[in-house]
Amino acid sequence: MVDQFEGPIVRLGARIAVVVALMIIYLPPLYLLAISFNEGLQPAIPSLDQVSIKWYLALAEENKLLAALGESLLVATVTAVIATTIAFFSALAYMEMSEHRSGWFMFVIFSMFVPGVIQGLSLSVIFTKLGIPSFWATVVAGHLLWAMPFAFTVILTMLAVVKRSYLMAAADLGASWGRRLWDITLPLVRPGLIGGFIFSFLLSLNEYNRAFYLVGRQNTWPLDMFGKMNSGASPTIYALSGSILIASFLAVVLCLLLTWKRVVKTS
Amino acid sequence: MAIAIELQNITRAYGTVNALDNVSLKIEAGEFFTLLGPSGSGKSTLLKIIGGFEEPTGGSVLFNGEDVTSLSANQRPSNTVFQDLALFPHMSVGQNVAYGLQIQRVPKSEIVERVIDALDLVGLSGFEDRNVNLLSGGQRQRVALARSLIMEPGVLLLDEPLTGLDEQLRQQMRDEFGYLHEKTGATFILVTHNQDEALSLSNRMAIMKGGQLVQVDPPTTFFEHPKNSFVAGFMGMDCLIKPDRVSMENGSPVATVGDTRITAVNNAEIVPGRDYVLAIRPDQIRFEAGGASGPTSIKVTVKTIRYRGLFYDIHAEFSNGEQLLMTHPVEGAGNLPATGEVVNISFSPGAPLILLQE
Repeated sequence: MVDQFEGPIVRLGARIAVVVALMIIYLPPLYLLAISFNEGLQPAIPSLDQVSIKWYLALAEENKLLAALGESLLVATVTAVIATTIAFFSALAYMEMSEHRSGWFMFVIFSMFVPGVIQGLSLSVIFTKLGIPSFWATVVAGHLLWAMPFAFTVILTMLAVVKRSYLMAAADLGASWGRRLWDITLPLVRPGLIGGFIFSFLLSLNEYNRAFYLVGRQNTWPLDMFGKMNSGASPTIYALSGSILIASFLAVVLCLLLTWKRVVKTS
Repeated sequence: MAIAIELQNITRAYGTVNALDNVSLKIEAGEFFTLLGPSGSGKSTLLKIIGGFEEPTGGSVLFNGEDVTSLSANQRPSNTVFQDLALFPHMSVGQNVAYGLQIQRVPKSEIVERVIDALDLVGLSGFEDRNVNLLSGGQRQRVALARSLIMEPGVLLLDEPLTGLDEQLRQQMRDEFGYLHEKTGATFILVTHNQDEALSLSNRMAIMKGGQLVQVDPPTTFFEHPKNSFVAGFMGMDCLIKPDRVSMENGSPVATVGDTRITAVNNAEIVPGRDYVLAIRPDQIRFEAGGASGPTSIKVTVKTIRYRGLFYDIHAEFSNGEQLLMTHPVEGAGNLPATGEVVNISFSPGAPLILLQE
């Protein structure tokens, strides 16, 4: 039981504020989800007899859009793996440093502040100069500049739980650098690694500016979506958005279930 | 006795500051040795250098006669109990204790047996599967001890491990250290700023100040022959009297305090130009029978009297304003002087000492 310092009016006010804030956040995507089940061509909330999965079925035929989504998933996965790995080792380096920490920190996160169009353009110029054709890996290169600094900050926050004395104790018991990394650091920062991975995956999946310059013959999903909007929106893009929303929701539920199971097991 | 650890001219500099300044020390095998000193005296740094967590800027560390200065912690035959204990939070009690043996690739069945024995040794039998984050302070201490002792180290280093425990638990763990030292026969090196801990546990101890060893002796010597005013103060001799003058008379140092002359019992060489203090423990001072007309001529004026339960604290003053603290047993409460009264005092054998002011 937590002691309650605030009076009932303050508590009620806080609750209302939370509900309003959550509604502002969740209503637009829920609206999108709702109209994706509308039978008609115009975006509108369907009445009960108009509910239909017609556009979801039509989605299966949208080869171009699906190929773009596939491309984006590939780019996002590769980006997330590489960004998390680089970010992890950059964060380890940060923890080992004493004097040049803030310099290193700024160096690693700097690309976060460079506008995407500039990064995209400059990379594209360099790749052309080097004779490297644009394909999914060139998009990954651009996305790393964007996602890695975020993964770095997430992992760095988590690394704070790895006290220096844990590593000293492990060394004292005979553990080499590798064993200390594997037995002590990695298990303790695992939540940060997962967080960094998911974060960079989502940042890459959504990214438009850099991909615009670096993409090859196969569009990524955001590029294709924008293209579709310009040439008159087909309701299938609502269905695609709806599917992603539902998939995200299921992923969150799965994560919660797994965490819950672990909590039950340990207590 | 064999020498377990030898430190030769150890120096550790941080920039221009010397945390350790030319420290040399020999610690015998099986000894319980304590490094005592205020924070910043270099005692923890010295322990880290022995354990291999920090490299000295100069000097050598020898284990059993072998130079280990360039070896890192995981290559030295010592184990450490850290100040914050450093229990691995993602491992159970059993996994924590077993970790060192796993690194050594000891067979699993042997690990299980030795973990049982180690937990038994520290009084935590059956705790293998417990979560280390849910243990009490004393239990966490014991897990840290078991995790180090399972390695059967020749040298166990204890870095202020009792910090943060309440007084009762400190007492308990202190007894535990004594028991484990006897039981294992290992060399124990304890770092602490608590003189009680040092006195009750050590075979020998060192007092450190400013990165140097001020005095290295058995505990009783620290009380009977403190080397200077710093050591005396650290040993709880709170009453250090500043004389107006010190001179040698008939081979003994004599201090003049106001209109009183006090002859010290130790044979200190008085060097002109240095400052000296008189050290007298409160329990070494007695009233002379017969009040101010008694046989000695050491007169003080009683300032305050405070009841302390087992005794009274009496603050008195010499004619020049120097303060004196003495204790008076409660059984003799009837003989207590009045505040403002001038009384004659005398000292027990062994007091007072004249010490160099540090």
